[in-house]
Amino acid sequence: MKKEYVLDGIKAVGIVAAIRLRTKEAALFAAEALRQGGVPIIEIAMTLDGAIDVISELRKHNAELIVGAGSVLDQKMALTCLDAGAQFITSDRLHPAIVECAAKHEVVVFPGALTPSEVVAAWEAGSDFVKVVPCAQIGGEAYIRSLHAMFPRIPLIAAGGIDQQTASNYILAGAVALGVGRDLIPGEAIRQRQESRIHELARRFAAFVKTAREGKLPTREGDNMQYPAE
Amino acid sequence: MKREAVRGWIEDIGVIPAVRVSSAEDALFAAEAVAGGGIPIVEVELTVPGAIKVIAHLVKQVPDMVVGAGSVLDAEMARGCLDAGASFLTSDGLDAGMVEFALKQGVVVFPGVLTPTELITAWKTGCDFIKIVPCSNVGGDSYIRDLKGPFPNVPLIAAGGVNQQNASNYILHGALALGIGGELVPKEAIRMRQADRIGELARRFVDFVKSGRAHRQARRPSSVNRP
Repeated sequence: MKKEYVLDGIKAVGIVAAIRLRTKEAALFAAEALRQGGVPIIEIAMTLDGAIDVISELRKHNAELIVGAGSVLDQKMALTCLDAGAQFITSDRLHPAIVECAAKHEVVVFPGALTPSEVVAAWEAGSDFVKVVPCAQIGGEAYIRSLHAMFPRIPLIAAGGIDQQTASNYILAGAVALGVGRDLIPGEAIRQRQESRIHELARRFAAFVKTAREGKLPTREGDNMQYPAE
Repeated sequence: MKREAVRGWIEDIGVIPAVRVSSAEDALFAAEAVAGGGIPIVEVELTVPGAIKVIAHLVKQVPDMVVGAGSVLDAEMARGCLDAGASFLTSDGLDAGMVEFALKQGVVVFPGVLTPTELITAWKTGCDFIKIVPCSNVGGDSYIRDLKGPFPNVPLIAAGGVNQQNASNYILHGALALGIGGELVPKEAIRMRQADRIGELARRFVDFVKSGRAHRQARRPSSVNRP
């Protein structure tokens, strides 16, 4: 039930906002601004000190957010994230132990993969989605289109270098969701606490996903899905 | 069909048409159309429902055709294809179990890979060829050329985004053969039963391969690994 809620949320919103911030205050500010702009799915990168605290803080303060951990490197780290309340686990490469661990705890997991072999390996390990990263550097939306033609049943999340110019094209190419970082949460906007700027960016990215889905896949399951109320 | 014969056809013609059709009639039409254009080879993609039946139907109806299966994900799917009579198996990603199974059964197999590391891993399994896919997204013909540098003896099949503009360049830069989908067998042409159109495309791609090989031979006579 809990896992389904997270899965449906990611599918419905179609955007996972990747936050790389050091302080709890900044992360809370960014998460709240994103939620108000229509992107309540937050990935906290483990590359920074204190990321675990940020996850538990976000989970405590806002029940409407879906909070996960990014750049998770091993099983031990994954368990720590789960203890902190992470609702999904993602990484930049496939680590079967992480996928196993998340599956055991019934938590959504989407490892990163790049080549078709890696995509298949990640999917067969039992992932919920496969994150294709870094996407833009290896051919962008055309690359997603190729992968989607090869593996029509594997739900792909495109991440790495996605911006306002390309976002909707990735969805048209077949991605179920996008991982967006800097272009959605500019460091400067955080530093200067520009709430309305982040609102606007969140609204735009959410709209890029929505219009692209309406344009191409009006009848497919998932597109009409409402963001579930818990 | 014997393994050597299947390998021979692929090496000789240098074009593997990939079709994504779910009806046996569409597949038969497409197969006969490419054969009419000089390519007696067809790869049926397993991404569409009913593909196994399509393979069985083709094998029965056109016994002279080399019928293979594409997008084979694992050994179990591979078994289904062989039971249906497929004479080669290929995939878009490397699955060691699938390749092992194919080799044990003595059927031609060429897994799809992308990076040099994956290429080495795949080649060590003992497969017949290596398919580089999706090729055009990661540099196209120049990527094939750069792979042929460190791996001159590995027979590469370029697939993913091969079209009339770049086909001969892939061969010129060292690909042994090309995997081609919609550019050779357009969906629309199947739907409208345009056999002449598909036949013409098949003839063109065969010519692109021939001219690419001729140029390669003229340029670097010692490095050409043609039979």
